[in-house]
Amino acid sequence: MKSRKKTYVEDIDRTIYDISNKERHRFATIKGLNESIIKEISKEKDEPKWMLDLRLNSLEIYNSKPVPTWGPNLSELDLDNIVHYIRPDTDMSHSWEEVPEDIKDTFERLGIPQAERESLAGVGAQYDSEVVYHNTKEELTRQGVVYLDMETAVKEYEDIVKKYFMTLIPPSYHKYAALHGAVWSGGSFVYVPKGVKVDIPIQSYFRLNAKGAGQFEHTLIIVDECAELHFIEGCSAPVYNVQNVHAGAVELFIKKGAKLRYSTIENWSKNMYNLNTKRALVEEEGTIEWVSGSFGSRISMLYPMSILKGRRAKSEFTGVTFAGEGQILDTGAKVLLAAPETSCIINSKSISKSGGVAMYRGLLQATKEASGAKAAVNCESLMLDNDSKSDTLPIMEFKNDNIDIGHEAKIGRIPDESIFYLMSRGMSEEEAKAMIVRGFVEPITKELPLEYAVELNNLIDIELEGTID
Amino acid sequence: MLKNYRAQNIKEYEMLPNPYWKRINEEILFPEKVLDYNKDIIAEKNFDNVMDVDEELCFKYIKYLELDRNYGLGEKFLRFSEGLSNTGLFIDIEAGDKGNRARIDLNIDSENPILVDHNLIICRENSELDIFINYEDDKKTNGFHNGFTKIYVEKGAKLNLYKIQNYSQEIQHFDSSVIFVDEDAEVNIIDVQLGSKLKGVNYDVGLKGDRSFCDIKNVYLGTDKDKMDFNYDINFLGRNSKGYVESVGALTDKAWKVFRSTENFIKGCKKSEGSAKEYVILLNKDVKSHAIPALFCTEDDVIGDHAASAGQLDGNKMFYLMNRGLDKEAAKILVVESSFVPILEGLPEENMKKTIINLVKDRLGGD
Repeated sequence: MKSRKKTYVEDIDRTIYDISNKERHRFATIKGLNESIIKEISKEKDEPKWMLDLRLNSLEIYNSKPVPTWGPNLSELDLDNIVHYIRPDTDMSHSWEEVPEDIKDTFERLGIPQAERESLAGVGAQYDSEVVYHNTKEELTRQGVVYLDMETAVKEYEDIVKKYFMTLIPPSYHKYAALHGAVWSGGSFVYVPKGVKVDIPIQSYFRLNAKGAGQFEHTLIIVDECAELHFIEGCSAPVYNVQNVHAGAVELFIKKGAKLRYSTIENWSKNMYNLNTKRALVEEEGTIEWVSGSFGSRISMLYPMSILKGRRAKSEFTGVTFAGEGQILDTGAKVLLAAPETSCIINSKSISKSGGVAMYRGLLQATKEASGAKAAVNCESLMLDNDSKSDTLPIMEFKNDNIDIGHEAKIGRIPDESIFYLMSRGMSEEEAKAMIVRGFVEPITKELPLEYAVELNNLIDIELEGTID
Repeated sequence: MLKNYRAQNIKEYEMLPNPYWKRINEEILFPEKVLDYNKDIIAEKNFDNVMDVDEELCFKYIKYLELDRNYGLGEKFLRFSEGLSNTGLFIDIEAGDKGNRARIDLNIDSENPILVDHNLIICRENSELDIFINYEDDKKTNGFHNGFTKIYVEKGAKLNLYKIQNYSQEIQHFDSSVIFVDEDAEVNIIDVQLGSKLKGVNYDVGLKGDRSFCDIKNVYLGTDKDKMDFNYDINFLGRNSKGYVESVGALTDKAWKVFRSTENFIKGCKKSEGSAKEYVILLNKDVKSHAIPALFCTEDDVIGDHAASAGQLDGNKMFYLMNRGLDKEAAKILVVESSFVPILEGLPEENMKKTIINLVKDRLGGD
């Protein structure tokens, strides 16, 4: 008699992400964090004084705040052992030809130049602490769209940057926002003028190559009145046996009638602490759409927040989290309904396997001003084995009676009936399970650009060894 | 032994700070002195094995009294009842003994303003017990109630527990229950919370045995400046266990409510099912409502879900009723009442349902 093996769902194939380059840097700070390191980073970037002051103030706040204890255990994260700034041994260029071969090869493997040629209006590629490649299609520039690396923006658009930078995510927001304020480096600045609708997405890709380092990019996007943009963010790192940390910040300003879709595929290596902060401020009739895929990292704490400040502002969050062996992915979404007739939809899916922990943590708040607000939240969790853990913890707080809000969550494994049904239609058990898992994440994949949808399906690689007796 | 047990709890109680409930922005203040409570709390019973707590009984039941961890509203509340209770009951229903029924009155009046109860209920194998607990007061006393009840429902036993809390706005009400349910045992609870200006209610259920079952239904009303915190935890340990929570409430004036539920599926509880639902009707722009329905899962072979929703009165229903000649207030009361009825239908006596509906009408200002 054949033995029946347990269905096994493969971990994400990380081959292309795990190839690391030999470390070559032009400048790096020593490990740890203190005032002189901050001053060194600022000097290296030749920043205005207000930015140095912001960094130093952030450091003070960082030192004053305790490590949060309400989520995954961060006590093992040793920031004294992290190099907070590494400038790669190259200048930023606008042509892939000028990018050093090994770095270019890395991005080639990740498919960035190809995606740029085929389907993107602009690309920024960050390697360790600095952007090494940045290019915008002429058409976009002609429309008045500004897409720059953050360092250049600080110099060329200082007034605008100063007006918005770390106002939505102030250093006081939490300990790792303060860390970000102190050591931020790299990232993107985007300004879309009034009425300009950018048809083709732009993308920034963040690659951390250095062992034991941190990446702290800052993304600042302003979509002016009635303008539209789709921004894609990708991130990855090779796996090391020491800790790496990512504490980026994303500040999105969506003006009256504007629309921004912010898509992220995060595939950090499993030694990464991903403590990223993302916030969007949405004005009257504006829309923010978050599409979020969290696959990598050892520990993630990521809860993109939409602040719906203007009447009829909208937010839509579509997220999938895949937690495999050794991973604790604590993700979710936060929405503040702070104006009349604001609305939001949250759809979250999580999969956990091989001892992975997937947690949905959400916050939905309606203020006194949010008369006529509506919200629908839906969370579904799929456990692929009995070693894993899946939790859902939504918090809802309402200070208004004129609201219509609903939350639903489900948890469980693939129902036997569904497998049986598909098998009765001629599928093998393996095919049936694969189809169900792909169907489970389909609401997310259909929101992604095609090449990312294909990538996502590749990431969730189903392999069955089972045989049916 | 009883003396030592109480003394130890008093010592711990005194060392603990007053709890601060940040969600409703309230520090809970305990009475400085617990006076004697001189009322008989058993209003009706058809069985004998109900006992006042004494030294001998405490020795016999110590293993049931000492718990492995802190359950309920928090350590301070538990130690307060365990150390300073001024009334309470031990109910021990013999194996196979069915048809048992008791009515308990936990009432407060000017001569008994502080009520601190500590109770133990054991339903032995295949026994059955129905308990009705009423909470009333004389409507003029500034009073305080804290209760802690430990319940053991052994193999194949069945417990139906009905609580109707109708204190006036002068009373603070805190109630913690921990319930252990063994194999094939069943617990059904209907918890009606209508009164009290500040209340905390906590149920912590352990579905220990295979095929154990628990169904908790809660109806609540918040008026004036009431603040309330409800917590319902179900821990699934046994295989094929089933646990359900359903809560329906209405908030008006400046009432402030926190609803929490936790379905905790623990590895090994295969084929278990759990569900938690909360629906709150918001009747005034100044109300505040928090909901935290959590699902924790370390067992894959389960089905768990939760749902929470909040909104105003259904406009279509209101329009229909007002079309039929009801004024807005009457229509509002009728809609709230109708949302409570599916849960109140579970009460075993028709007059209980009528009484509660009348109390709801009174509190919402109806005829």
